[in-house]
Amino acid sequence: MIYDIATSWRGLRARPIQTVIPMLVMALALALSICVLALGDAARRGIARAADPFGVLVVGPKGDGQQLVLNSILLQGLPLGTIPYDIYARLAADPRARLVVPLAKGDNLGGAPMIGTNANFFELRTDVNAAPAFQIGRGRLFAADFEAVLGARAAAEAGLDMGDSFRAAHGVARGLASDIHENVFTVVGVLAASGTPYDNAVYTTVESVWSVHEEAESDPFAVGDAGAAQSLTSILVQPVGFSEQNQLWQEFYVGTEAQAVFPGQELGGLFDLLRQGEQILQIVGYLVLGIAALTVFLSMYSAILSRERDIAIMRSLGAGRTNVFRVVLFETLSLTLIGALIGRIMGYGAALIIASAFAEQATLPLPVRYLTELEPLLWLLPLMVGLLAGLLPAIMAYSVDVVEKLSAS
Amino acid sequence: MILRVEGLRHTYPDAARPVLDAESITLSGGEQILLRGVSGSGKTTLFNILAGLLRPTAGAIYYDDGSLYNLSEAARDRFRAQHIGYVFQTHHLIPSLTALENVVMPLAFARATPPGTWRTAARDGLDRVGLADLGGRYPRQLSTGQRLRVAVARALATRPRVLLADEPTAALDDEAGVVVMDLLQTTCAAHDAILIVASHDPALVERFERRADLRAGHLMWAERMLA
Repeated sequence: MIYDIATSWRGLRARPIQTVIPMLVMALALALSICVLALGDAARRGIARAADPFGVLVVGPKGDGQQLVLNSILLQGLPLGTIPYDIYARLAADPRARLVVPLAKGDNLGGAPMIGTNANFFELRTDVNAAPAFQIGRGRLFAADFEAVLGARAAAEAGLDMGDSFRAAHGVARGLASDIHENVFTVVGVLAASGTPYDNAVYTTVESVWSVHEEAESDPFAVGDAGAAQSLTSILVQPVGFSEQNQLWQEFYVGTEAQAVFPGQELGGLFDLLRQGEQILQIVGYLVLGIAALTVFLSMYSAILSRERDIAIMRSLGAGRTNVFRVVLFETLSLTLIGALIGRIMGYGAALIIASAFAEQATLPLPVRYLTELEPLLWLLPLMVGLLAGLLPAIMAYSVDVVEKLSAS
Repeated sequence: MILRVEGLRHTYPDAARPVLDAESITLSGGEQILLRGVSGSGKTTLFNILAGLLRPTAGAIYYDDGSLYNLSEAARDRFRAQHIGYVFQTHHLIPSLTALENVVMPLAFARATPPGTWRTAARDGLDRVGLADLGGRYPRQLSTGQRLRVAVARALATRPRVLLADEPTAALDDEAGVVVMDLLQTTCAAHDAILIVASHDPALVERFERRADLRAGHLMWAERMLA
C-alpha cells in the first residue's frame, strides 16, 4: 500500500502541468465556496456582535426599518430622517423603559460619524449583568457642550488625543472643506476599542449637534440631518420587560410620528438576504466543483492513456490489477485532496483579505473564523470528486492488456 | 524448482494457425537453456506464457507440481513477483522512476522482504551490474547499455527461481554483452535458478549446454553440448 502511494506520487511529479492544473482548479472550486461561506458567517457574526449591546427597540422616522437599524446600530448608510426630541423625552420618563439613548447624527470628523447622545449611551450592555459595551479608555466622558469623546479608531485615524481640538464637517461622510463648521470641539476622552463600528465614531452631547446645525437648519438637502433643533435621528430603547416592549412597539405601530423596530427582526431579514446570496454563489461553487471533477478526470484519463505501457511493465513485474487500480485512485485522490488543502488556504486567505478591506471601508469588523462544522463536507466533497473522476481511469488501468501493451512497445 | 511444460499450444484469436506448439519441456533448478528463433517464431509468446501473463490455448505449465494457470490471476501475479525475473528486449524501464526505484519495484510487488530493506537490496543489485553511482538517474539519463543493466538488476532483485531474458545482448556491444551474460549466468547458477535466454546472437551458443530452436512455433531441441 505504501509503495502504491509512493508510486502514485512519483506519477504525479513526473507530469507537473497535468498535476498542477487540475489541482488548482479543485483548489479554486473549494476556495470559492469557503470564501463565500466564511464571509457570510463573518458578516452574520460581525453584525450580531455589533448589534448585541443595542437593546431590543430602535425608534426612528417611518420608513425602511432595515435602513433604520443599519444606520442606528451598524452606522451604515444614511439616516431615514429625524423625529422630534419630544419622543425621547416621553420615553425617558416612561417607566416601561429601563434605558433610553438618543442618537443625533449629521456631521463627521474625517468620515467618522459624529453622534450626539448622552451618558446613557455608555450604559448600553449586552445583558444586564455585563460590563458596559463602550467604556472610556483614556480621559473622561463629555460633561459640557463641544466636548467630545472619540472612538479608538476615530482617534487614531484623526491623530487626536485628549486636549486636542477639531471642527466637524457637515454630512455623514467626508465632504468638502467648505462643509466644515465653525464650532470647535475639544477631545476629553477616547474609548477603549470595542471591535464594533462604534470604534470609528465621535461622541458629543445632543445639544452640541443642534448648536452646530443652527445655521444649516434651512438646508433643504440635509437628509436625515439631526441638526434641526429639538430633533433626533433615532432612539435606542431597552424596555424593562417583554410585555412593556410589546406595548411600546404597538403604540408606535399605530401612531404616525415614528416607528419602532426590533433589530433582531430587521437583521434577520438582512441575514435571509445574505443567505440567498450565499446560496446563489454556492450553486456557482458546485458548478466550478463539477468543472474541477471534469478537469481531474481528463487529466487522469490522458495520463492513463499515455502510461498504459508503464502499467503493463508493472503488471509484468508482479503488480496485481488492484495495485495499479490503487495507484491511479491514489493519484486522483492526491490531486483532489491536496487541491482541497490549497483551496482552504486560498479560501480563508481571500475571506480574510476581503473582510479586512470591508472592515476598512465600512468600519464593520467581519470576524472570519475557521468553519470547523464544514470540515467533514469540505473533505467529503473532494474525496467524492476524486473517487468519481478517478474511477474510470482506474478501471482502465485495471483492464490494461499486459501482453498487448508490452508487444506494442 | 522444476519447470515442466506439457502439450503447450497457443493460437491468437485472429490467427489461422498456432503461434506456438511445444510438446514438452522439463527444466530443473540451475539449468540454463538458449532459445533461438527468428522474429515472430514465438519466443516472446512462450516467455509471456511461462511468466503467467498469457494463458495458453492448450497445455499446462507446472512449477514444481503446481499448475501455473490453475492459480487465480492475483496468485499468479504474486508468483511472478516472487519467483520469475523477466529481462525484456527493450528493457522496459519506467521513465518516471529512477534506476534505483525501478529496481525496488519487483521487491515491493513480491512483498517477500521488509520494506526497509528494499532500497539497500536495490543498491546492491545496481552495484552488481556496475551502476552503484547511477541509482538516482532516470532512464533517459542512461545509455542503452546502462538501461539494460538496470533491467538485469531489476530482474535479479528478488532472486527469482526462473529468469527469462529476451534478447538480452541485442542492444549491446560484444564486451558489454559478455558482462551481462556472465552476470545472468553466474547469478542464476549461484541461486540454482533456471535461466532461459531467447536470442539469435551466435556468440551465445557456446555458453549453453542446452539449446532449442523455435521454428514457426515448433520447439526443436538441439543436441546437448557436453562440457
